[in-house]
Amino acid sequence: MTATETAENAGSGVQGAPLFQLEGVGFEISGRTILDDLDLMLEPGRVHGLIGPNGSGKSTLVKLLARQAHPRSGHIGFSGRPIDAYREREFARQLAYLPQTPPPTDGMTSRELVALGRYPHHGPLGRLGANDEVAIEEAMVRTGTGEFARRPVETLSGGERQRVWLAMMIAQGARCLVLDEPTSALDVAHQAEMLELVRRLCDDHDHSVVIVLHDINMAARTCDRLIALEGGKIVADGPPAEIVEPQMLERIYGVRMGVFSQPGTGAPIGYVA
Amino acid sequence: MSRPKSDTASPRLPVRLPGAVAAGLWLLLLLTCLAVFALAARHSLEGLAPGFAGNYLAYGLLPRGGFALLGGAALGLAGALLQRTLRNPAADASTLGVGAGAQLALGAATLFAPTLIAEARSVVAFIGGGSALLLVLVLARNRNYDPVTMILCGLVVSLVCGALSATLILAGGDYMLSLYLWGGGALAQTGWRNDAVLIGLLVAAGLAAFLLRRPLALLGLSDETAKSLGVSTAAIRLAAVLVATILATTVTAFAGIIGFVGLMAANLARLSGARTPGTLLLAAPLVGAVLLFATDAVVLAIEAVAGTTVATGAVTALVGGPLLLWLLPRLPQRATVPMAVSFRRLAQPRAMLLWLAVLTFVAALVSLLLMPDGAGVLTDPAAIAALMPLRWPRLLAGASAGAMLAVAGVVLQRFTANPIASPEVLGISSGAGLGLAVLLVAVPFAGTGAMLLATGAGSLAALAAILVFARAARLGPERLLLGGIAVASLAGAGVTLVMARGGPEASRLLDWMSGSTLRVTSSLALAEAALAVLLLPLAVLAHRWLAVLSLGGVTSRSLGLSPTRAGGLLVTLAAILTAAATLAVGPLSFVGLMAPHLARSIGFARPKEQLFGAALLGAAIMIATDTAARSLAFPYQLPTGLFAALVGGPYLVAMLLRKPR
Repeated sequence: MTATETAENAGSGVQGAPLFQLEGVGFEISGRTILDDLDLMLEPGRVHGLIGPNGSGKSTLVKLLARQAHPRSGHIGFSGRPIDAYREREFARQLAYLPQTPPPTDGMTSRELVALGRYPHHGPLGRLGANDEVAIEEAMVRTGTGEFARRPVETLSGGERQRVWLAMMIAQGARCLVLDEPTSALDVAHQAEMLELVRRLCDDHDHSVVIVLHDINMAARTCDRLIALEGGKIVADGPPAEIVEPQMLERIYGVRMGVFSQPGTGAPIGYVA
Repeated sequence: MSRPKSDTASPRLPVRLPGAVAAGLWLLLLLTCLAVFALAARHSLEGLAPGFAGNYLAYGLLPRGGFALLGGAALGLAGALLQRTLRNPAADASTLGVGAGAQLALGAATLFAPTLIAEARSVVAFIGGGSALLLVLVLARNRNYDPVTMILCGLVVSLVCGALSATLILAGGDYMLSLYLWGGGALAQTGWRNDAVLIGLLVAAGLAAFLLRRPLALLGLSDETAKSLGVSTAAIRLAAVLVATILATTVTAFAGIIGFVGLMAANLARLSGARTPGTLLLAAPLVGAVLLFATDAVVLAIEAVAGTTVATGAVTALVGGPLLLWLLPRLPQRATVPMAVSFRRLAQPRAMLLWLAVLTFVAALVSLLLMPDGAGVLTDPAAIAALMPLRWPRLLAGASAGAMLAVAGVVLQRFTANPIASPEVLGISSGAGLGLAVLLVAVPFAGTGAMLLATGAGSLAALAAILVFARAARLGPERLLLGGIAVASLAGAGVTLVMARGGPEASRLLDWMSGSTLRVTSSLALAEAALAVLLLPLAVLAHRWLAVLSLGGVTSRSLGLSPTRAGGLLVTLAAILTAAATLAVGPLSFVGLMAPHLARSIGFARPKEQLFGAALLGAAIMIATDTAARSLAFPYQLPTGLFAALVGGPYLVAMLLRKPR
């Protein structure tokens, strides 16, 4: 992250405050409760994994965190301020969000898409300045997308495309990345590659990450903390070692599951018994 | 995953009535209308000579009632078949361009091959309507037959056909105006011949529908599922569409366009409890029969009391328009395949822009200096000086309007991410037409100033209606298009109603609709140029918004751009640009559809370049068409709208021939 960005970002939010603070957050759609009176605190500088079965409320929760939807009840704080207190571009400089299905890109090249990540900084009328160019370059280098900078995004493979979208989020200069199942359309190799990138962003560049993942083992491998939802409620919350454990997994997914240690690393691996 | 999509994506239909109750209510309506029909008939027979009254009843009124019932049934069945086959609850002969296509073919045949009309009226109508539907379906194929896109294509095709019909009527003079009268859907009959044809057709079509009911039930799921269950989807679809087209075009051949009866019949039948395809195919014709009969009974009563002619078809459209408005937000949205976007990009877009500017300038120069009959260039200074005051206002107004329409088109296509969106389908120009129609009914010989005011007020009213509609639907781009379509349909029905009255106001309205720049004054031209200079830079300032918004609402929001606010401003800008351009060149030019596309195909990929490129192209196209319209039939002036539609039609075809990636 460049010096100017850090200075910009330090301007809003409160130092030392939790990344997210949720109090009594509820959400419903036409009478059906999706999230039920949720209390949750997420810390900065860590990778948080949201797991749980289909329909448990994971995607809705990340939508609320990314301000794509508003809770019906309760309060969400982001970096020490109410989440609604941020102005639009100010919020976009703090938090970048990747939806589950990224939209079609209308013939844009990779570089043009990544450059759009600078919109929150220069706005509708400002010129693309030198530090914008630097941020775009850096984002593309970090995600290894420089080689197809001039190719239309639509012609890229699924894994390459996801990396370009990640590059756009990085170019956005936000400290907090919120990703909704970024690996669901990728094969195993590309899943691992994508998640390693996310992990590195957290370790080397002090980003905070909230990520929805389907695969419990991938989640355990990547995240510092796993939060499991079921029926709109948090049913488990803790480091992966505590979550990937037979009784816990059965409670989350409702099927009998076993766990063994990965040969070599000793990391716990869950499987359907 | 816990995406809350199941609740928002499925069509929200209100509680259905129990079938028996609904059937009772429909029967009650039919009986009431029979009574109204009888009373109106008695009223109109009063005072006629006894022998004539008997004949009028037996060969005029009774066949008319029968035709209303049979025609309504035919349209209802056609609507149900189309909706079922295309999985699109807004499908109807009038929303898919079938009526307008049939009308155009009949108009052309009346003018160029009158014997054909006498002998094979239905065949002519079928060829016209069938071609229009085919065009719509091929256009929509590129977008996975997405219902919204299909209706958009239907509207565009209808508008092109309507422009061509209007031009034919103008070219044909007074006697063709009666064609427009008929085009509004007049059910008057002179004997039982048409009724007999419809009965035969309905029996045959009913049999076909009965045979098709099971495959159609499977087709309602998805093509893949139907295929895997052993249904030959292509053959079934072709058969059903063919039957529907024959039914709808035959009714059009006999009575003109009767708008939205099929749309209403099939949807009301569904709401009345017809759930399975079998019951729907049975109920929709019955509901359609009652609907058209009811409308015609009311029209008869009005005519008997007020003594004026009212076009039944336009009245059904006025009733059906609001239904379409209600229905459109509930359309299922299919995951669309993005349309073929050109990946061409220019290495030197500035150089190309310079070339285009030179080209536009040369076109303007040629247009100013061309001999009146286009045979050469004027060299005589006296002649140039004499013609200049006639020429420059048209040129300036046309070029400014072309540039404004093109920019409005770029804004709309980028914002909605739909390449068929154009100012024409926003309903702004139709609103302008309606404003003018209302003025001309009140003051048939109103002056130019009043006409300008009326079109301006109509455009703004249409814009307000669209924005209210879109705001209610949270301003999603698709919703916005739908609002535009509904406004365009409603305003169009209103214009038809005025047109069907005949009289001097009808021919003035036609003149304006065909897009003549003949009456542009120098002050109007200067005003147009000033508006263009004022408004176009605003669009260029918003080019970053266009880039971000084309990624959709979620990504725009996460980049810190509110799609509601930015989108609302952009749409307002596009509407003002369109209204301003409409004042000078009439409602139909399709420059707003063509120029953005051409700019994209040339390789202006970024929004900023596309805006500049399209503006120049729009100006150049307008200059070229206006010059051609002026010179080709010298000393007569052809309406510019005809030319633009003649270019726009083939352009649409060319667009659909491009395969999606």
